Amino acid sequence: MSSSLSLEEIVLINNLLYCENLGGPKGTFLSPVQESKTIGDYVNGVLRKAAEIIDDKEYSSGVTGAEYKEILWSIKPNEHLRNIIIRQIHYESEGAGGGRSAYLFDPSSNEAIIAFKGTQSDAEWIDNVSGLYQVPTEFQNNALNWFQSLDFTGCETITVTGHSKGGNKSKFITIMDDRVDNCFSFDGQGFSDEFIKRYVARIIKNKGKITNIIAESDFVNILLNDVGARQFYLGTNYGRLGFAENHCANAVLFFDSMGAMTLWRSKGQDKKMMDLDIMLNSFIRTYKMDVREKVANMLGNIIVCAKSGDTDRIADTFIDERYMDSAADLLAYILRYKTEKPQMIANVREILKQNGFNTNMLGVIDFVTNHDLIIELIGKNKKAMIAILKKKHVKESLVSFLEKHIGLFDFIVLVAQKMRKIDPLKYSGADLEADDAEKDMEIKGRHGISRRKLSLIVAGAVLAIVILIVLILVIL
Amino acid sequence: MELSSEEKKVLSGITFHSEEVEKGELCDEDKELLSELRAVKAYLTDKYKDYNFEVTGCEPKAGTARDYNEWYYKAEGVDRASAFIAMVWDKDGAFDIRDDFYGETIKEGASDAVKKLLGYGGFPVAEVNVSFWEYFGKELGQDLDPALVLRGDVHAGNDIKIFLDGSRLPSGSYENEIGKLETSLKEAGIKGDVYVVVLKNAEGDPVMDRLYSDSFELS
Repeated sequence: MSSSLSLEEIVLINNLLYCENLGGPKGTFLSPVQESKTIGDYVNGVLRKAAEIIDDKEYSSGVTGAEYKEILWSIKPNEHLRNIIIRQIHYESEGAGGGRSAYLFDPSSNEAIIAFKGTQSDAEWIDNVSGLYQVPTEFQNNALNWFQSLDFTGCETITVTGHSKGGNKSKFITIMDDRVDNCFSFDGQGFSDEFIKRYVARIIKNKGKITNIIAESDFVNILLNDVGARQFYLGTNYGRLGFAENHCANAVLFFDSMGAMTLWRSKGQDKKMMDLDIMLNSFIRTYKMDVREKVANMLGNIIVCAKSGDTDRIADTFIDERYMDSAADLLAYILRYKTEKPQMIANVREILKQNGFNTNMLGVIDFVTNHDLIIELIGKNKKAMIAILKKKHVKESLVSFLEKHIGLFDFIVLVAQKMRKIDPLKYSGADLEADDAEKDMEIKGRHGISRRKLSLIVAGAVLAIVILIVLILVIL
Repeated sequence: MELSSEEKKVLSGITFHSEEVEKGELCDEDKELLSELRAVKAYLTDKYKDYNFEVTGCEPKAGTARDYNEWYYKAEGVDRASAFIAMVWDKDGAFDIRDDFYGETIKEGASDAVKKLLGYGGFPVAEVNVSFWEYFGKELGQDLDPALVLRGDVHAGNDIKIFLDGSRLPSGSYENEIGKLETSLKEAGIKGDVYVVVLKNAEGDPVMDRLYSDSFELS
């Protein structure tokens, strides 16, 4: 059964999941106290005390009180949405906790709507990166377990949705549980190659139920391989977080002068994000599954530090012996990628600039790229490096940052060493489709080898035959 | 440093240092988290002596819009799928902790009191659920009298949900009946937000079998 919800309503529900403490504790949508009330009860209760919501205060990352009021006012006249009942609110306690979700019920269509909030805690960030090396992850399983504990008696349709990590959980549940009728993943990340291969049959069976709603410049949906149809929407809303706000759940909302909300389809995905998607996929594929945990931990540590705005700790991650090697791999890969695809680094520079980052650091990256041999030779001599950077007119603030984190020089040398050993175009960066994975596995099953290996053997055999014919002709 | 298995499980879950945590070799940030975790556990155990608690996780405030850390916990013998939450403010090394567990200890008493009151008034009550919005520190919450909370002498942010048996109400009389119910609660001095749902019958599902609903505030 199709969902009775419009895409606008789906997106508004996903925005409600982030409403926290709007005008006081009663302004939290995902609270067990809201159970049995309707969305309308919640909206009316909060708007009655709208004066207590501070317009320019951020109530969730990147979303202000004024923006939340706009969202709630747009729900108020929507009778269909207002009558949806909040049946159960869930706070995950397993695996260090953090995931939050809601079981909603639409009485007009007897539709169960299961909605998952995006990454809630550091524990969930850790789970996000573990998607690189675990199939499935602990929090994906927790979400499935909770879903399977719910009573759907009397429900004619089951729809799952979620934003960001919540989108990934909703796709996972749809793949794993055939009872789901519809899935709307909003800016949710994808799955690893290994996941696609392991669940290829389930994915092929259920991917038709999945719609990915994506802000054209969102940077989370590009992670790993997507499953299901993709629809891109225009984004707006550059606030304090700059470019990072492309991932906020309200980024795709446009309001008219009467306060009504609309989504606008875009022509497609932002080219910068497409390029970044391909680069990240090909980088991840340079690592085998069993050694990816280190890379994942390095990335996760950087993300958690960046989330806290702690630049010093990010620098410390690069020189921490646990992460240094993986971080050097990543940077060396990006720098080598730059020589093959210079536009990619230009895109990264633009993204960083829009995000308020000091792009002088990229000057150092340029320097490393162009002088990797020199750096390897003299890089351990910190004073010489500082002198060279000063000569290159690198800003004083950046030089003092490097002086503060002197271990970064060893890191840069390691990057320079690794750069010469990397072939950035060795692995494809395209998303792995379940259909291709299945064909690959069929051929592998039939011949005991993968399709790629088989094509290499065929090419080798053809070459050998040609050489043989030439030799015979020469002898004759 | 010696860590219990519960402490190891939580710290490994919220940091990327699982190997170090396993060995008890904690960095400064992890030491801070551990001391907060221990403070939460000691606080809960001291406040609610009849219960055993397990702290299961944490969402640190860094990178969020909150100015406190949120700790997740569960209580042995309490059948609830969702975690309970304790909020912790670090005030110059001293922890200011507030929790929501008091609600678990008084919700039954408060619900029964409202049910009884409405029963005396002749209302066909199918079910009453009372829950609370506020978080209390160590000074409030243990051995709380539900009557004090319902009357608003202790401000807990009462949220009262009343489900009525619609088969015992004349059709079309719901608004009128809810008006009478409001007067009755007001006269009894009850405070809080009240949600009234009329169900098809006393056994009706609170979500699937609704005939009517309305809400009002008693301040």
